[in-house]
Amino acid sequence: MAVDRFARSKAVFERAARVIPGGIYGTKSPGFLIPGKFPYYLESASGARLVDADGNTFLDYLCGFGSQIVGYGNPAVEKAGSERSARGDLLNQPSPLMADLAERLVSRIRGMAWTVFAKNGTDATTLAVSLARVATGKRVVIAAEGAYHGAANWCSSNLFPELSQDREDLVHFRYNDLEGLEALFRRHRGRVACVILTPHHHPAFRPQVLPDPELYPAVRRLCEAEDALFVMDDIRDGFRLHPEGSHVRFGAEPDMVCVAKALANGWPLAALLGTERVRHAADSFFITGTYWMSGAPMAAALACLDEMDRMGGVDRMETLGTSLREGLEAAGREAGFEARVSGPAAIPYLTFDEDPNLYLNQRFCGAMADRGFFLHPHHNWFVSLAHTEADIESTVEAAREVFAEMKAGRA
Amino acid sequence: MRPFLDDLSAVELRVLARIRLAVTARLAAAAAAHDPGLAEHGSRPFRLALRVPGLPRAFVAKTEGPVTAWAGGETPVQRLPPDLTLFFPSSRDCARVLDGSAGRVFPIPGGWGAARALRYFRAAAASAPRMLRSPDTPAVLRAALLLEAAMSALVETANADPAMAPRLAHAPDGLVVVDAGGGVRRALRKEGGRLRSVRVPEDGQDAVLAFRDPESAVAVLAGKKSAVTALGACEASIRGLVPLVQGLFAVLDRASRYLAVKAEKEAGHGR
Repeated sequence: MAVDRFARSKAVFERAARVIPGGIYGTKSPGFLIPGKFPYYLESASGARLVDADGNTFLDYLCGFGSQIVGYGNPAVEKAGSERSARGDLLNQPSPLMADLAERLVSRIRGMAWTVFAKNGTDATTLAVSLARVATGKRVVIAAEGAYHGAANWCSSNLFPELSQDREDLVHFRYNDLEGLEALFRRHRGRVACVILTPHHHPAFRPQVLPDPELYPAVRRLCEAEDALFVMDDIRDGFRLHPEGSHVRFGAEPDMVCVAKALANGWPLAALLGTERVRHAADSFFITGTYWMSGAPMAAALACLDEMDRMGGVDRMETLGTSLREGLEAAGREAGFEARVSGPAAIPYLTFDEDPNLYLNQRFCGAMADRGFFLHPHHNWFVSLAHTEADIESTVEAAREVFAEMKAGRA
Repeated sequence: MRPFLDDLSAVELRVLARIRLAVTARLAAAAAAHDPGLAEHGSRPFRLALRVPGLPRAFVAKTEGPVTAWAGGETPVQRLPPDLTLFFPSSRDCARVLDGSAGRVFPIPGGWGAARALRYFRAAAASAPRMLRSPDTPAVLRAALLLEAAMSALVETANADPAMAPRLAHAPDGLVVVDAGGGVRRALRKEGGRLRSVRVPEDGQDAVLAFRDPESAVAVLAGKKSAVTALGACEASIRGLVPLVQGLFAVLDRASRYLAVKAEKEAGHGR
């Protein structure tokens, strides 16, 4: 009789579903993965490896949805965070580390003059949009179709009619469609507060798209003409595309930059950075949250920034990601599949040209999960500095087996 | 959406009436295949229309084949005048009467089969709820009836409720097959802001929502378990274009809120 390798995960889920809506909600819901092929609960992690509630081990390419950049449990980051925590994490006032980290970020993220801290990416994007509205005295926010900017009502996929007012002034254009973007500016002339974009387009369930070279110059020009602001949502890409902010890689000139995820290697911390132009609005805006200035994540962030540089940073992830992309595409071709890895090398996502409906993705990622590789079928992947050349080789080798099985109809 | 009929807006009332018309007509037709007691009523031809001013009519008819239903603007194959029209003067009356509450409905004879149509409808309208309530009803039949009702409600909610437009716009187009197990399968095609019921294709579906067995389908379709929980418990699976199915879940959620609207406020409620 076959043993269910996720028996404990499922048993916990059954209990959870009685007391937690959906059992596990949001992006971590089993329904976003492939139920029965991936674990629902994880117990521990180290480097690039996860251990689930049933004791199964996975080589991980989701990296805590991008938050792990120097590896799970990185000793330097954990030491810094834990030591700060032992001396007091959440206190009445921030620790002096807050100024240290702000200085470090402002000097590192190109073009930025100030920063404020929060917890989640949604905090940072929501704050950015609010500041843009206050600074410009206008309401309309322009975003790309399918882009994810968080789980707040102004931008989330909770399209309930009762919440429609919250999204009233959010309008969309097709990513890279410059004419569509210009048309939106024309239609909402005098009302546009900001454009918010991710450095590259990473919609769920679809191949990723790199920015057209004309996109960011056009965004800057249109924003200047409209006296609107440009917000770069660098939460997912941040620190993987360019050490000074992903906007530098693509030649973009934002007025505000949102970072989170990799900033503190999984310690809860987000930051919004801005130019002088927006400082007055940020000065006058009431910005707070009980946990937003806790010290331990800031200590972890300072250590994480050092570790990123020490471990090879963007260049190393680019090299590893390129090997992964080339290996997977070649393995797919050998088996007769048009498997294509889209996006920047450090943030890859594999889809099949011949299958826009993702049946092949689900077969591929399910079979890879059977072999102990955590490759999300519906969300982009991440390469981290904890991955090694040997990890990439073993992934490509396993993929070669899976493609062959898929071709033979066994997977 | 408010939980009582009196609290609904005019638009919501019309959507609810459309849903009740479609679900009633389709279950009345579906019951014929499963309830031997309906056989004598459904053996001879009749054409019945359910009508509310300003809404697409629903039809239940027995011509040459089995008893069949049309709703939501679908046109019956034979465009003959109905033998009997059940005329509801308002959406509110329709929603109340088809929910089993008091309301106005006027039978308008139009042909020789009027009496047969009325007899069939009276028997059939009670048949599906009775089968769904009975503990002796096999799970596969229960799943078939619930799926029929859910698909009807889904289509009407998607096409009639303006609040659904953003949800539908957010989901990709395509064809979804819902497999409730035990050979019970239905298909829907989403095109732009519209949804329609279509024949189940052999292949080429963009997404499949498959239940492990009819019991699992019944639990979700009867609202005893959420689809998300069923997915996690591996009692249901989605293959293919997941966002297409997720878009339908959103509509189904709205439809189930319509179906839960009560005609009367109970004591202690409605404050």
